Amino acid sequence: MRYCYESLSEYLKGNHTRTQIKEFLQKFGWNPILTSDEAGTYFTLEVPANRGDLFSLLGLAKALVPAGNFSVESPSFSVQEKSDRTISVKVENVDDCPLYSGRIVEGIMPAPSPAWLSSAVERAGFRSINNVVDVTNLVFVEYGQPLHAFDLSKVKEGIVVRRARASETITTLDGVNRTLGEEVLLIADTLTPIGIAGIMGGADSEITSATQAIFLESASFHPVRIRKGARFLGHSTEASQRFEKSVDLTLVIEALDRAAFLMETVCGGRVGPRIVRGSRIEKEKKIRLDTRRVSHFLGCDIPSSFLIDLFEKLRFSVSGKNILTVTVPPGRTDLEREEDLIEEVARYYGYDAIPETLPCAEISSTVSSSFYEKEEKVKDFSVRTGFTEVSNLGLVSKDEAHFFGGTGPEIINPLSLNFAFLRGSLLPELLRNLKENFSYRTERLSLFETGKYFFSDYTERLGLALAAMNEGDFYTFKGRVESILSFLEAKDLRWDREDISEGVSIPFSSSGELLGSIYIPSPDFLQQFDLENESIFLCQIDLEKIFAIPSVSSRCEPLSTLPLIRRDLSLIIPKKVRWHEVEETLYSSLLPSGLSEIRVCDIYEGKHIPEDSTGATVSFSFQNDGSLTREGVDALLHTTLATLDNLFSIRIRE
Amino acid sequence: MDEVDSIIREMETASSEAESSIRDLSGMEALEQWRVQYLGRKGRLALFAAKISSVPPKERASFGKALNAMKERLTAIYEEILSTERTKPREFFTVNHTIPGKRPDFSGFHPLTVVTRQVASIFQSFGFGVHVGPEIESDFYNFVALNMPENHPARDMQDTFYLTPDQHLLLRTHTSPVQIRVMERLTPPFRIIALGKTFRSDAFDASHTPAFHQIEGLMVGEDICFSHLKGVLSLFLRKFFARDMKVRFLPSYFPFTEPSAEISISCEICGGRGCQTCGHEGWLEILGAGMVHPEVFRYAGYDPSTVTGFAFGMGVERLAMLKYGIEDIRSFFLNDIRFLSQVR
Repeated sequence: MRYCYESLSEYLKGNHTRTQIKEFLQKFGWNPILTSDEAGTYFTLEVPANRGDLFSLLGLAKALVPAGNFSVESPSFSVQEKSDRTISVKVENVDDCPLYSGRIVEGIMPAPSPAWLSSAVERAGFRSINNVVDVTNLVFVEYGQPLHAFDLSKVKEGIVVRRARASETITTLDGVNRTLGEEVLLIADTLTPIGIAGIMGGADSEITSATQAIFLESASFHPVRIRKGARFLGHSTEASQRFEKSVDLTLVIEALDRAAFLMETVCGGRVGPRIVRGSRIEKEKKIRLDTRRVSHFLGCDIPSSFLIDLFEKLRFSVSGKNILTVTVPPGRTDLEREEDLIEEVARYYGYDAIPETLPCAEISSTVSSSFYEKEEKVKDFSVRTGFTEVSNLGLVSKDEAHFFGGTGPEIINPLSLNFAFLRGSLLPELLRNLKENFSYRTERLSLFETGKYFFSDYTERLGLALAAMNEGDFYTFKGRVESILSFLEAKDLRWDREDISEGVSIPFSSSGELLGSIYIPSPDFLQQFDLENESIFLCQIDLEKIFAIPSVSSRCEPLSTLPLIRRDLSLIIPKKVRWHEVEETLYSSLLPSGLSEIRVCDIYEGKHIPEDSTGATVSFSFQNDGSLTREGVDALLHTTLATLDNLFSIRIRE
Repeated sequence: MDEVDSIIREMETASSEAESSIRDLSGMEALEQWRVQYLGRKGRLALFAAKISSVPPKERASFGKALNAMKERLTAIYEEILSTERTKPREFFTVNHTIPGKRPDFSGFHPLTVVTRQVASIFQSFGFGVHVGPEIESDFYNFVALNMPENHPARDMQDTFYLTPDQHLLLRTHTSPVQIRVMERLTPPFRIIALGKTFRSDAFDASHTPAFHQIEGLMVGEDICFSHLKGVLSLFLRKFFARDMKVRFLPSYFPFTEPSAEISISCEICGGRGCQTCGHEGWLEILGAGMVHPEVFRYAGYDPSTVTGFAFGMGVERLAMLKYGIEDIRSFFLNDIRFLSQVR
């Protein structure tokens, strides 16, 4: 909101400069920005949502009083009722409109405003329209009370404040024909709507040069009703924003009378009697304030004299000594409890005047959630395995939400189609990252991300996704995945294969629990990322399932000092053979003889290997008390090879 | 007499011979052979020295002098040749050691992880625990329990993505719901930070993204006061930015804290005089904070007359942008490896 310094000075009396006022506004936390033009100097303030009282020159002046040797001078006026004309007013629902007041002003002469009036409204940021409208705007700027003037000749019989009926319509002052609904509060005559309460008047009852009599309205509408109405219409105005922050009931009548006075003096009208519906009396708010708690809560000694002086300058009445009873003006809707008053004290005392101290607390620290610590470990392992971390929004298109079997839910109010769904998998965004980097000539890349992915039932899971582009063959990628899985203590993995629409999926599980999948996207699928010629492997792991695996003891095993015999065999393994079955056979037959480890150390396919087979160098390590000789091991392996040939058609490579 | 002279002449000849022969040698082995031949225990020098017993006492002095001269001359030349031999290239290792080595490809953490870990480790050193929570939240945890009931105007400050038409489920607009969830589980006193991704319906441009990251903190106890908030957060900022800057606390408004504060640091780029980065104000806004609102404590089941606490929050992207001079917030989510590899 913008305030004119020169206008403010008419209400805030005392010696001050605009620089001083700017400093006070800064200290109070309203972030003033100072600008000026030939008409005046302006502060644009960020007024907090709970400080409706500041949306007027008088309100701001009142808040500035404690800052210096200042006082507030309200406009002085007296209304002469020279007409006795009145009109029937009916408020259908007091909750929607707790207070409604008005006066008829007859014999009005709409004309361009006198210079003082037009410049006053222009300095407040309004366009000068005519003397009648300018008066309502001036009083709005002074008191923060929105007013409206209806052309009385367009009002049939009486005023009714009521909800709109579905599909009722009105053309508003801006010339827009609006369809109304039950959320909208109306000012109507006995037949049709003449204005939307608290939002905008109707075009039909607008003040024109032909207007001779007006109905001047000053009311308090319920903030939520105005907010809902503005939302329903998709339209908010200065007045509606003001009503949404709730107006001061005690100022409704004062503002009406001030405007009526000006209608007489500026527009030559004859003012009629005051019409009031509802109650102008608001319950006094008394707040108990323990002066010791103020010091305790802020962490510094603030003398009671400071508090009492401050409250008096703010026109709060105070009684008591150590425990104060503070009565606050109804316009201060932000003040309800002790903490609210402490905040008020801190604001004027100055946050900078409060010292910096460190709390004393027991050394025992609050534990961290295990999810956080485990996720950080996963990141460490992934970087160690040569992957670089990326971070993505998690917002994707409809297509992407369903890639790789995902069921990412839809956002009902998205900003764009590209970000209209939550990701159902971490992989689509990783593919986009590869594409982005590839277009900058980064041809080899290994990326990972940890983060949430989502399901259509609105559940979410923490996952780890890996992507490698042109970083070796499938077995290299699988080895890196295995290495991370083994860091994470996933054991006895089973690997399957499924054809999916994106290409091939290699799901893996441990003890029947599906942990994740490696994906080999097809060139067809990769075309949409312009990556169809690149060798790309992807993997997504369900970290929540991994974290559920009980962790084995972290004790170190003593190193074996038994002699070790190692033999490497080059085997030709038919592709239909399942390796875990081979491993089981080998362990069950050789474990009793001292087999300590079987490791696949080299894998080759293609040249010199039959197309239906894979070549692998398998390293066998034996360790026992020393009774096993090299010849013994050779004999054992000889028998074993025969078994492998028998069971799996695995042969030694010539 | 003559005999001694001739021995001395012989010594001179032997020295010249040794000198010329050593210059033709190549390799450590040949050099060692030479040393044995001339300077060894049974070498030429030793043989000459053995003759001293047959030299008449009168002439021993000049004989000894000649002997010493020969020893010094041969030792000096030996050392000289030895040191040149040592600096010759070793043939088993012939490389161009000035050509750049083959480096492993970069692999590292995302800048947001780097910054989050810096912040978390400072607070962990203060005894704060780290907590996380769901990204899909209910209206209750995201708004109501944080003193923003239905129709509260402050809800407009946080443009929300909704998942269900009744607006019951939404994407959390801040990490504050984690505070409520933690308060429901823990008993005061405690101190925690909550971190993670948050969402607001903002455009994807140089200064906005529809998702971003926050770190929030909460310290609750019996005697926690506003001056503690100032002390802890000032200390944090000085540690994080590793410089002694000015920290400014000004009143602010959040529905879930009271009093609320907005915390800025003096702009490093202009030294507080005002520049483009700080919007010509000389200050950079970093944190929002305040004393936990009594209504929030009530929602969490605490008695606000016996416990007090402070809470604070900050945007990770903003911290990273200020610390590393990053100008476009989209950089974090485009994940260009040339960008990622710059923040260690």
